[in-house]
Amino acid sequence: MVAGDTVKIYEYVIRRLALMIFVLFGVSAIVFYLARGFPSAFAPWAQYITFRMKPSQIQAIIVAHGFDQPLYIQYWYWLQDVFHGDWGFSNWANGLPTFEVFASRFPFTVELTVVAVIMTVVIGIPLGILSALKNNTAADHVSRIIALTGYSTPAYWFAYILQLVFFYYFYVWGLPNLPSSGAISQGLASAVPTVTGMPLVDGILAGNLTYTADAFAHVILPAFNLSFISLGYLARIVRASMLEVLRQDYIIMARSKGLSERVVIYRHALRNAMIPAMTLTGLFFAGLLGGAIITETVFSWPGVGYVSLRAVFQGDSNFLLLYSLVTALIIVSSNLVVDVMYVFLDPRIKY
Amino acid sequence: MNTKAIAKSTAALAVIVIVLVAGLAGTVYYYSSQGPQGPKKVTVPTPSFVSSSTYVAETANQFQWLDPAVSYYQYDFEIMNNQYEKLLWYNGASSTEIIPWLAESYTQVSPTQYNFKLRQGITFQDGTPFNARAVWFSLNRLLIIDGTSGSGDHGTQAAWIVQQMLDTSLFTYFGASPSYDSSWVNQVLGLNFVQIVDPNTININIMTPTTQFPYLLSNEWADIVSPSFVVSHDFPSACKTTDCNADSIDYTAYFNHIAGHGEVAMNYLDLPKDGSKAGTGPYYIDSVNPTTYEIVMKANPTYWGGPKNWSGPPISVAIKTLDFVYVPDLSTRLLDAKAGKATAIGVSSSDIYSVADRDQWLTNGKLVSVVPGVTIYGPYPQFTTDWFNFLTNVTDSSGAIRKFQPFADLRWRMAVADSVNMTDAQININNRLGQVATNLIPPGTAPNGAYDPSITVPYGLDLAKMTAFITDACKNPLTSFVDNNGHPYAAGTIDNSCNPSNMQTIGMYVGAGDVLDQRILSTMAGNLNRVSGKLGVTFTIIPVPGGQYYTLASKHQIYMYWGGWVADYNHLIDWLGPMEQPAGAYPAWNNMNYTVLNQLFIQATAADSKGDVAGLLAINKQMQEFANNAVIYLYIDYPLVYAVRSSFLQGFYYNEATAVNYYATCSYVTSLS
Repeated sequence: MVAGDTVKIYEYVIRRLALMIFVLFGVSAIVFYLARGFPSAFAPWAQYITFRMKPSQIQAIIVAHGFDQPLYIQYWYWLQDVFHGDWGFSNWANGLPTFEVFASRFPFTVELTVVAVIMTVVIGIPLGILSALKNNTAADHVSRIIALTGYSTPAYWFAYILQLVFFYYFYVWGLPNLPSSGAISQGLASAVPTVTGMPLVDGILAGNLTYTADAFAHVILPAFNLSFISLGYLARIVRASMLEVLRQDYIIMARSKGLSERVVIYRHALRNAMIPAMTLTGLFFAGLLGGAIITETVFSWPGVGYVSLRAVFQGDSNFLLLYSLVTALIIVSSNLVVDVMYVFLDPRIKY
Repeated sequence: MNTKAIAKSTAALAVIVIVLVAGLAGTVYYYSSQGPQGPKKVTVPTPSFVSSSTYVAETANQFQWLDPAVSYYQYDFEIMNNQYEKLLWYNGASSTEIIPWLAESYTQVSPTQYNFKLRQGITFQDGTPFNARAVWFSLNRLLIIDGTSGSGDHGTQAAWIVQQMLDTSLFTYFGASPSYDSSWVNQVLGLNFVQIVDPNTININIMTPTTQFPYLLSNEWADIVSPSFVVSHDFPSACKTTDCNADSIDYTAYFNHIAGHGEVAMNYLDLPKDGSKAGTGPYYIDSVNPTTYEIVMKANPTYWGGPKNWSGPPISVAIKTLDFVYVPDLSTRLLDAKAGKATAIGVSSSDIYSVADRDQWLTNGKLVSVVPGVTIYGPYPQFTTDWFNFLTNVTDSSGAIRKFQPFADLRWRMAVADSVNMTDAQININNRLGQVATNLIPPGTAPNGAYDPSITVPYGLDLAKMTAFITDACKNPLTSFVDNNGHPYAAGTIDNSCNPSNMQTIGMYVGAGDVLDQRILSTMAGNLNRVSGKLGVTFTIIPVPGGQYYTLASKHQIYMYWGGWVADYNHLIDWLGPMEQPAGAYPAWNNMNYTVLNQLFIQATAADSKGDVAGLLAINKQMQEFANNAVIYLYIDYPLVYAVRSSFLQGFYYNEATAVNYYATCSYVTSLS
């Protein structure tokens, strides 16, 4: 890359960030309309009032937040509330502020997602490469079966199988077993200070090996449950992409030059084969970050996935709006990161 | 054979092997989990919770508020019952006998005054003394926080139970609009509900005499809390000393501050994230995590040991840690029980055969566990009656009265009641986890004799009678109707005639997750529709989530719904008022307007205030017989509950009247012989 290319990348990033703002506004408007525009058993102002308020006080709240106005004006009032950090209260969650309810759980979902994505990449990419290199051999067939099983298996069933084998039967067989649920063992819950809210990261930051190991043991099964589905897709994409790249003239040229197979594969072929894989990985990350309801329920993982279901049933529109905005922000950001990474992977790509 | 063919064969073989192995694994798992011959003779290793002296309770419940002056949720009561204590409590397994607990003794001086001698030498978990000041503080705090939602929503309703014995014109539940300012606080304190006689003696003064008195003080709202702990956490500026000594607190300032704080997260005890040592009970709260819903309690090292005349299991506080863990998934909880990770797990009635031998239960009535190392206790009554409620004066969503009012007609109510065999439903649909209900009052209700098995219902499965009722109701429809104030409607307002060209639909509302009752309704609808469908009336089951049918019923917008009444406290009056008095919660929705029941209820409360238990029971019998003959409710059952616990646990105790577990009697054995 030349200096001019670097400047263009910066300009591209700034353009995309500016566009991101419009995207977020669009997402918030759509979700706002869906959350508040339809009849509901719950009054939308319920998140700003308490039981004790008199009718006159409730009316004042309604006026202050614009609930007596048309929907498009309510949206404006809501934007003002958001910029003031007022997301109301979630009565279904011990009456805590909605932002606090979300913020206390989101780090758990981030941790689960990051570990799941790492597993997906670490297992899926080598599986795809192996499959491509050993095309139509037994190794290729086995890896294809694994991939097919991955995206054919229902998440809830696989979660139970993981618990059954690695928690219960390992216990029965006298082997060290992994925990069945939760994010950290009871006796260790307050062993390290909460910095990020992610037990694994907090344990590393505190330098507490026992805590970190315990956190890791707890996240393995739910993360693998999530990754098992996506690693199948990733392996298939990598395989197809590698096969196509390996057929290119420049690969034949590289082999003709006498380069070792290792250099041919990992320096020349892999970089170009990774572009679709990166796209897919970015999509997986964003999708998983949306909260895996089934996985979080089965493993009692205290993320946003399960509570978002409760928020829907309780008509907590502010929680859903916050959740949607954060998810949209992450999706757009991850797409931006992926697009920028393209430039480094393939110099032919310019913005 | 060439390479490709070999590869294809290998792949095909691999697929076949995987399928066979998976099938074999599934079969092995299925049979090992079913245990068709009952519990196997297996050696169960000692779980880790035994050596760590931890009681791990896994449920799908989430706590709401842990302040006894605020909460009204059963799971919260479960926690609080082990942290706090009251002046009185139930004696062992009895649901009617109440004994002094924190009180040493008490006597009724007059119909409106009780004298309590308090036990001496007891301290709160924070080290401060239990005395008359603490009782005065705790019960007045309950009144002044006034944990009662003006909308009547459950959750912050603790106070009205005690308030009903006082000047109800001061409290929101009874229709008042308190200002919650200092003048109101002074009015409440002026009731002199708790009168300090000396540091170890109090009088309790009430305005409305009632035989319910001991029962009203035997539940969590009457818990005694440490003034020092509570004030130092809720409103430290009311503390005049650094240790917030109870004798030097500015109670007026504190009460003025917390007046009306019966809302979520307003007081420290609602969500004691850093723990709570505000009680005198065998356990204190060590930590509360609002994200994971985990609560950890530790044994109180200075616990006084409980009353010596208690007939329950011996109190030893042998288990040092209680760990309440939120595990929403049943399969995960079952695995944890099997693997010795959980001492106790919650298993709902519909999943009973995940843990219990079906044949043993249905044939012999015994709950035998199919899970090695697990014991099932029970079944226990829940002091609950499930029923279907019929509504009259039903409106549409705009509030206009509907023309078709089937349940204003006794014949339609009888037809529905005759469409189902409740005994059969209990056995085959409800897994025998309920006793068929023949009147409103469940067994074990105080005072003794309140439940009368001689009172029967005038209906039962009889399809011939059902057909006759429907046919007659359609052929000779009711023509006279009254509104919910008892005034007749103008002619033509209501039309109960049946016309196949103008189908009427009667929605049978039930909870979306309530599979058992949906099945009962399905049986009923099938039988009814075979007759009524030809005449122009269709019964349809409508499952709705989250109890939304209660909202619709309160607005009189539905004809029929499933419901259940759980006693707020174990006394007959708590049934008669809300369930049969015309102004009560559910009669206000069904608008059946029986003045007879109103008159009888007035007589019942009069008998109660005079302490005339025999008179009260006689009036109850009249009310039940009237309600049964009028088919105001279609009773389903008195549901039962059971507890799934590790077999290593000893001293299990469940208080049926208050539906809480008490862990101070529990201990572990180190091996199963």
